[in-house]
Amino acid sequence: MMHDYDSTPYMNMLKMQQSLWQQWSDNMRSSTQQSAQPNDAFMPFFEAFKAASIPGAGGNPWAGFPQGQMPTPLWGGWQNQWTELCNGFTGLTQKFSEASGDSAVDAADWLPIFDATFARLKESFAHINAENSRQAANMCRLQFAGGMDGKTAPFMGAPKLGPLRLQQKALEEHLQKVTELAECSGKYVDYIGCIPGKALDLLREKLLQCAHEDKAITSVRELYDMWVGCMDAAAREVVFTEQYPKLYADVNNALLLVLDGSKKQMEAHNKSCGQPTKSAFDTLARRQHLQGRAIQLEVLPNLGHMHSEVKELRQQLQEALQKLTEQDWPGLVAAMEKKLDEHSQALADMAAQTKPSPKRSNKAAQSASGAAGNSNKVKHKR
Amino acid sequence: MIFPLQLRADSVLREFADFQSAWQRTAENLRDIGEPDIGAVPRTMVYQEEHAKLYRYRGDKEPELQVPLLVVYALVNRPQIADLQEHKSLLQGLLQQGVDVYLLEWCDVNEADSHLGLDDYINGFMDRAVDFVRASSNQPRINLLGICQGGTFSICYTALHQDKINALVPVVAPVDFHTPEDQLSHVVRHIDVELLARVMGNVPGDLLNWVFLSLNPIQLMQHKYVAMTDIADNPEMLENFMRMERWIFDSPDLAGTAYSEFIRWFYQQNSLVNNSLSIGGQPVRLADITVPVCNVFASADHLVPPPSSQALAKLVGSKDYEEICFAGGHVGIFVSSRASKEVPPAIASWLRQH
Repeated sequence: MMHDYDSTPYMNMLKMQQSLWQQWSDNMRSSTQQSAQPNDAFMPFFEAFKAASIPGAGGNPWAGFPQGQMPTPLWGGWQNQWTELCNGFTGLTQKFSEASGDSAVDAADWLPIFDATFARLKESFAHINAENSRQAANMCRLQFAGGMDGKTAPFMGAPKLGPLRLQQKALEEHLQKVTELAECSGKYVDYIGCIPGKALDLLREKLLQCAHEDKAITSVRELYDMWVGCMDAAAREVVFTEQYPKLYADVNNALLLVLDGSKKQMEAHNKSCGQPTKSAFDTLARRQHLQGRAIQLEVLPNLGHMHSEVKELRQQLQEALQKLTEQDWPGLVAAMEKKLDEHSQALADMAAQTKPSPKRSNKAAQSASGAAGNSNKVKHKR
Repeated sequence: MIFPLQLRADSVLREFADFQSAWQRTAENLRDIGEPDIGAVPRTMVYQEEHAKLYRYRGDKEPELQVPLLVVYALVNRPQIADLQEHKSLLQGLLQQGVDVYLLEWCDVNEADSHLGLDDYINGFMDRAVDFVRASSNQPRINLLGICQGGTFSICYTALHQDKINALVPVVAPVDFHTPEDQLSHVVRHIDVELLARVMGNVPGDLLNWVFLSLNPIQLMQHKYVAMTDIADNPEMLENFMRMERWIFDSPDLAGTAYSEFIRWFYQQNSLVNNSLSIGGQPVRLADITVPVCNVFASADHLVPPPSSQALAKLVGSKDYEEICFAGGHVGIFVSSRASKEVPPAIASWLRQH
């Protein structure tokens, strides 16, 4: 049965968003047409937007928006940073829209605001980056190490009797590896966090270049494409630094060490339960692999000869079949009949020539008549 | 100096509405398209091993070139990129030019295959496939075309078994892995690949895919899908888009040993260039290659930068060496309409002369 894709929540959300954008756009257009001064027409919307998002003004900065567009505050501490970022965008958007439609606006009027807005955006990105870095480090600690503190403390503090000492040591090593992973992750996220800031610098440069060349960005898509180019260029710049591959490797290697430790613990557990272990399977696979190669090395040289022989035999068979197929069977039968006739005739002639003369014995006569009789038999058979 | 952002509020909102609408139409059309077929040319499996299959491709006309061409692909992704669809197929183009085409396709590996190494692939599966093609075509030497990592394999193979090769055609094949623009090489420089192979067994194809995507993260993981709405009302182009998606995200796992050897020997140690590579106990020296070589690469390749392929020129011993550079990227050289018209005739023309 085909799933009704059109009525899925995803498609419904798309439709709802689309209708909202259209509604807003229509309102904008109609208010522009009604207004004596076109620039004023933009203001009510953006003033409301701005008023709602003034830092420290209190209240929900998204209150002025229809509910369908609300970002869900899933990110906890990130929400404030996100709001900060939105404030930056809002200020930028308002100033840009004030300047839009008036190409003669003096650079002196917008350049300071332009620079200030970019600086603020960069600051917001830096905040988010710091938060990301902290979260990345905490995530590992909380999820693996820190979260286990309460559970592991009694175990780790128990007297080191019997096999407990080794088990405590194994757990301690594992927690150490997890902590290292958390630190490496934090450093890595912190390092790559400069990418959006660098991209903003590039975007600012590109926009200023456009301004100098009297080129204008007239659609969000153009701006977005430009932003994507800047982000990838900034990412490339960061990746090609000397530090990046080391930090990248540190995270990956630390993660692999954690997985390796977990695997070893699992192995020990399976072993103690008498279960087959992964390393045992690996050993078997390795042996099988080596045996397979040894067989190949032994067999392959002979295989070449066998291939040649099979090829030769196939050729001979092909030729024989070809001859059989091409044979003129009716002609062959006719030729055989003719030959038999000739033989019969020859025998008859011989018989005639050896007709018993008065001097010949009865035995010879009998023999000759027998031969003729045979000849008749063959003819009959035919 | 004008203000650079002339964005009218109503037009911005209209643009958002149009985008939503286009996204909706794209989603609906993609649903109708389903999963597009891959492959344009009929083929027959002529030889099979547990880890490799050899196919012979059949074109509309009989081969004109006596010496057959064996195509060897990388262990990453599938070789279908060389025969994606009608009129976007390197193999189809070669067949139309009268080339007798064979393709060696690697089979998926499982956990028990993690010990397969480069020696198995190059001196084992490849060598036996070459022998089969030689025997079935009655030719003592055949032509070898290797794509991407398969190109590097082909170069190594030719250095080791030159008596079986008539001419070598590496296509977008990395040779020097330490060129300044090689992002992939830069990223994996310090990864402990032996630990990775030991811990993971085989290396998941999805992990490799993610690494490739992360080289151009915003472009390949976000912008591509935004730009997809530009073709919302063109089912044919959407189908092509989906076909590429299917190919990109159908990435087989890699045998752990082969992966770690390739990364360590080539990406980290650059041993092909340093003349320190040894496979199966036999030294691989590029200077030993004296058969004709036609090195094909793409001018805007972000995975294998042109200088990485071009390094072969100075290292190979052959006096008959030629380079063909095509406009396009690593994948575009196989699937763009322009490349499909230009690349196969150029390769076939070179093969005809050898």
